[in-house]
Formats: sequence, structure tokens, C-alpha cells
Amino acid sequence: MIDLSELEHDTISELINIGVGRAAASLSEMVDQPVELTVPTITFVERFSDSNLTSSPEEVVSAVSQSFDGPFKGEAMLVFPEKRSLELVRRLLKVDVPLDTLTDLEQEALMEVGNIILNACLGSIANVLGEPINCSMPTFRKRETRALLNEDTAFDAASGKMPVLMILHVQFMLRQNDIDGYVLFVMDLDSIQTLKELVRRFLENALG
Amino acid sequence: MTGSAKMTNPPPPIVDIKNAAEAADLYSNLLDTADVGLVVIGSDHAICHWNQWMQSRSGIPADQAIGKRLSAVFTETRLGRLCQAIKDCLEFGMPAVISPSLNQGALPLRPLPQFAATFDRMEQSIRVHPITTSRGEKLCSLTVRDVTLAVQRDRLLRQQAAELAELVTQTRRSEDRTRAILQNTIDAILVASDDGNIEPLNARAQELCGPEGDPELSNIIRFLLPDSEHTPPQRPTADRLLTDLGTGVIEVLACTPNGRNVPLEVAISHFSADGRYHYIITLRDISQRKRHEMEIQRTMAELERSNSELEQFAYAASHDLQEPLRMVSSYTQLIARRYKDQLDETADEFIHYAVDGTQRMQRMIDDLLTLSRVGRHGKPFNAVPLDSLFDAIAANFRRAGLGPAGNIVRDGFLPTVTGDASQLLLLFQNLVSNGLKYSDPDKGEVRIYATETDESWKVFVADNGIGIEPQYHATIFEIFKRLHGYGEYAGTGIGLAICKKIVDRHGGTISVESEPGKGSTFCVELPKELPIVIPPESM
Repeated sequence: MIDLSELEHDTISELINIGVGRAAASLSEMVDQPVELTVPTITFVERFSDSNLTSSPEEVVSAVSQSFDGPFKGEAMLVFPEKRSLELVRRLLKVDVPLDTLTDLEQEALMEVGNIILNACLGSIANVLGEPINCSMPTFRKRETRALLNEDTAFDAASGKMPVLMILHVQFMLRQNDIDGYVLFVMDLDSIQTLKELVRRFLENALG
Repeated sequence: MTGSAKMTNPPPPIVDIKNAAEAADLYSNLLDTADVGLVVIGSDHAICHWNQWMQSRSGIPADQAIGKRLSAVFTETRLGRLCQAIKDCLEFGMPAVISPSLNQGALPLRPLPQFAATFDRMEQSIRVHPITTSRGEKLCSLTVRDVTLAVQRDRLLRQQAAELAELVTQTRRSEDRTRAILQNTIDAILVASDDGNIEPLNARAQELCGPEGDPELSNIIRFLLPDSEHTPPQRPTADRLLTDLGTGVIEVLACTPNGRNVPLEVAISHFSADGRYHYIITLRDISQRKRHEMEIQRTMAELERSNSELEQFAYAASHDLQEPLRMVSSYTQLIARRYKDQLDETADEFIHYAVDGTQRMQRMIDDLLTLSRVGRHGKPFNAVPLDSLFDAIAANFRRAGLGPAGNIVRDGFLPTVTGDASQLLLLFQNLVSNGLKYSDPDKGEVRIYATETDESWKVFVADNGIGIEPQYHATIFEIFKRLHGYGEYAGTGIGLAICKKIVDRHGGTISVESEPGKGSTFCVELPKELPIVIPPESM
């Protein structure tokens, strides 16, 4: 099903890392402090419950999501535990607010950060694809981990098209501190096949 | 622009958007009335739409913006992120969010007048969105919203949250401090509310009233509280209540299960909170003090015992000495009478010395007996008018034929004091007699007068005699203290010791002021109120 060779897996990882590297550069410039972003691991799972993200299903997470459409369609999501998202935004904005939820403006800032990272990831894929991906404006969600995918993903179980998840473990390095989050790509099987096909073609071109 | 052109044409009753030109006009109008900034950028990065809102907030009219790149309209460097987003949008169709927090004042737009004082620029939230025209051309739209008010509110929220957090920190710190003070107080502190509930406030109170302490203690405290009428608690047994109630000092005994008894002093104060009355009960461990008190009591008893033993001894000694002395005295006097002028001159001299010696010894023993009787055979105190006392003294001296008449002078009012009349007579007779003794027998005069203070009477006995050297002022009241040889002035050296003992018994003081050659003034100060409560039956 998701039978990627090691080379293909590495290629996706490499492409994504180039994308998030660019995102990090642009974030660094915006917040005027070094921001490093890496994607140490990429995993594919068939069910959300298979991922280690659901280890604490009642944990409240902040998510920025953008859906994309075309030959390659689905939804991309940047997910942080709520506490981590607070930490991230406040470190980026260099303010310390003794409030335990995001203010409206902080929420919008997190949305922009998510937008930059998701654009970078999608951009990397679009690059391989050779044509633009239609994607939506980012939206912000805050909910328990277990409810993250239930309502907002457009996949219906009736059609039998179970979504497949590509999970990128994203690590922010800000002022000597690591903040860990995840980027989820929720796609149908066709899109995964398309992605795989694209990567294969890219490799053929690259290797000559 | 388009607005004024439209006003001249009568508007059709229903907008007919089939007419392309009219539709364009309508959309243009809509864009101009929108309360957001709308900018459209073509694939060549040139601006192709710039709505009314953008014109008014940037101060740049549409005709100066259209056809130019955004970076040429706003010639400044802060556009980095926005320009990148536009580029990504045009090239890859990527939408973008430009938030006010991460991109302060992305475009140099004027804030509304009410924000001009605090904001240099309008705070903006921008959306960059790809648009594809019907001809397939890729465009990019910018939607700019004014969020200055939201930013201002956010700042206020942060500030207030910070202040609140600071306040909480301070309160917590002060609370911790108070708790630490309370916990580390040696005294046990409890609080009782008017429903009779007693709550220990610190570790010591927990220790005393908890299971490790005395469970009965709470009931004793409840009994001590003034407001316990509705359910009068059992009066604690006498061995638990160490003091009489009503003396102001409450002492109770706590008995711990491990058999240790702790005497406690109880202090009760009160305060009102939430419309209810509360009592603060402080329990102080007075074991140490109790031990000291007992030690003092023991020492006092010991002292009293040895004192009375001493008096007993002095009395017995002087009393028993009298008997053999009387024998010696009688026979020496007999020898003096029978054998005077029958032996030689030296024998007469020896007999004289023997007789004189026995007489002196007799006086000393008499005086010693008097001294020991002051403590042993004191009479109950009564009101003693000093005037009549001195009448008696003057009569005594007249009878004894001591000194010239009128040598005892009373100067002004003499009060009535409280005391043992016979002892007071002895006291003042001794002082007057001393005054006369150490004066010129012909011109000697003793003056008696009194002054009053708030708490006492001062009675002065002043003479015009030889006076006393200052170094002896303190010691003359000691027993057997004589300043002169026996040949000069007769006396046993006990007289002033008797005076002092009498004054002591009356709770007063005796002192002397004197200068050699200028006379002496003895001052007896007697309290108006006796310091010790005399039981009425002894009065």
C-alpha cells in the first residue's frame, strides 16, 4: 500500500527539509532571532489512532490547517499541544504573558507560522509536481487530540476511501529550546499514489 | 471617481448584471464601499486594483498606485514578508496570512485619528490569496483589515494579566510570610468561631490540641470563651484550671497521652469577620515559668524558716544570757556597795569597770530582745495619729529629764499613719533620743515635720548635732554599727537597727541626710496603702 523504498522515503524527507529550511529562514527574518526547523522523521500511517500522536487523546492541541486540491488533494495540518503552541508563539513574539490560552492576536500569529510552514511543505511538493497546488487559507482549531480528525476532514467512510496520514515530526529550535510539533498530511490513497509516482519520476530525472 | 459618474445616471430598479459594463461598475462600487483594503496584483507584479479604502488610509490615489509594483508604491524595507507572500502566491498559488504580531505595520498605513497618539501605523491583518481569471490569468489579491483596536485591546489585556500575575505573586509571597510567621511562633494559636468550632492555626496548636496532644483542651478553651452561653460546657476540673477566673491571668494544664503535663497560659482576643465573631486563642507553654515560680516559693519558705530560726535563736540567746548576767550584775553591785573605800584605790576602779560592763551588757541584751521582738511579737496595724505619738514621746523625755524643755519641736501638721503604735513609738523615740544624744546638751534641738507624696508620708526627724560623715550614711542602720567610742556617746549600736526593722515591717524606708557639724535629718517614709493585704481578723 504505502510501499516506499528507502530512497523514495529519503527523497521526500529531503524535499520537505529543504522546504522547512526556507520557512525557518523567513521566520528568522520576521522575528529577528535565529529559528531553526527540522523534520527528523516522516512516517506513514493508515489510521490516525496508529500514530503516537494519540498517546494522550484528551490533550488539547492547537492546529493550523490548510486543505489542498488537485491531482494531489487532502488536508495539511500543523499540530502542537496547546502548551507548546503558547510557548512557541511567545518565544517568537518575545513576550511573556501570564495567560494560559492564546489571545486572538497570538492565535493569528500562530496561524501565520503554520501558513509559512505548510506553504513550504506544500511548495516543496508543488515543486516536484511542476504545477501549483490549489490550497485554502489556513484555519485555526483548538480541540482534544482524539477529535482532531473527526469532523473537519472531508473524507467519508461510506466511500470506502480511508484517509492515509503522512506525519512529519517538526522540531523548532528557538533560543536554545526545542519545541516539538507535527505536520499531518491527510490524503486519500490516490493522492499518496500520485505522490509516490511523482517522487519516482523526480528520482528518475535526477539520477539521469 | 466612478461614484460621482454613477450618481448622474438614474439607477435601474433592479440591477441587471447581464450587462457586463454595469456589472463591472457595480463590483467596482462594492469594492470601494468595503471596509477593508483591497489590492489586486497581476502576474507581472503590477497593481491592477486599489480600492477607495486603500486610497484613504495610505493617502495614495489609485492612479498613482495602479501599474506599479507594491514595493515602488511603498518605498521601504518592511515589505519583505509581504512581497515574498505575493511572489509565492503568483508563482505557486499559495495563500498567505500576514499577522499583525509578526509583521507590525506591514504596510505604511495611517491609523484612525483615535489611535494616532499611541500608534504610528495602522495595525493590519493581511490575507494574500490567489485568483484565477476566466482567461486563466493568475492574479493575487490582498485583503487588508484594520486591527488597531484589537491590538490595543490585546496590549491592555497583556498588561492587566501581567499586573494581575504580579499581584497574585505578591499576595502569595505575603501569605507565605504570614504563614511562616504563624507556623514558627512558639505559642500555639487557635481561632474559634462563634459556633464553637476551634481550629488550630499553627503546628504548635495542632500538637497541643491534636491526637498527640490533649483532646480535652478544646473543651477547656470552649469553657473559657465568653460567648458560650447557649451550650454551657462542663466546667473543667480544678486540677486543669490552674488559676482563679477573674484574676485576668488564665492558666490551664494540658495533659498529653504520653503523660506529660504542660501548664499553659491562655490569652484570648477577638475580631469580627464576615459578620461573625471570632476569638484568637494563644496558648503559651509556661513550664519554665512555673518551675521558676516553684523555685522562688521554695526559696522563700526556706528563707522564712531560717529567718524565724535566727530570731528564735537571738531571742533565746539574749533571754538565756540574762539569767547568768543578772547573777554577775547583782554580785558586782553587792561588792561595789560593801567594799567601796575598804580596799585600795585600784580595787575601787576595777569594781567600777565591772559594774559598768555588766550594765552595758544588760542594755545590749535588752536591745537585742527588743530587736528580735519587732519581727516576732508585732501587733496588728491601726491608725496611729503621729501628733499624740509625739506628745507621748515628749512626756517620756520630760519625765526622764533629758535636755532642756522645748527641745523637741513639732513643725506643722503631722499625719495619721497606719501601723503598730508601740513599734512606731519605739521608732520615733529612738530617732529623737539619738538626735538629742549627739547634740550639745544645752542647745540641742530636734525638729519633727512631715511631707506628703501621692503614695506615702515622709516624717523627718532633724537635729542640730554633730552630723554623720557621708561614708557612714548607708551603714549606720546595720546592727552593732557604732561610729564613736563608748566613752564619747553611750549606746549599744542596736537602736538604728531596731528603727530599720520597724520601718521594714511597715513597708517603708528609712534614710539619713547629714553633714558633719551641721546636724542630721532622718527621714521615715511610710506608705499610705499597705503593700501587703492584712487579713481583717488580724487588724
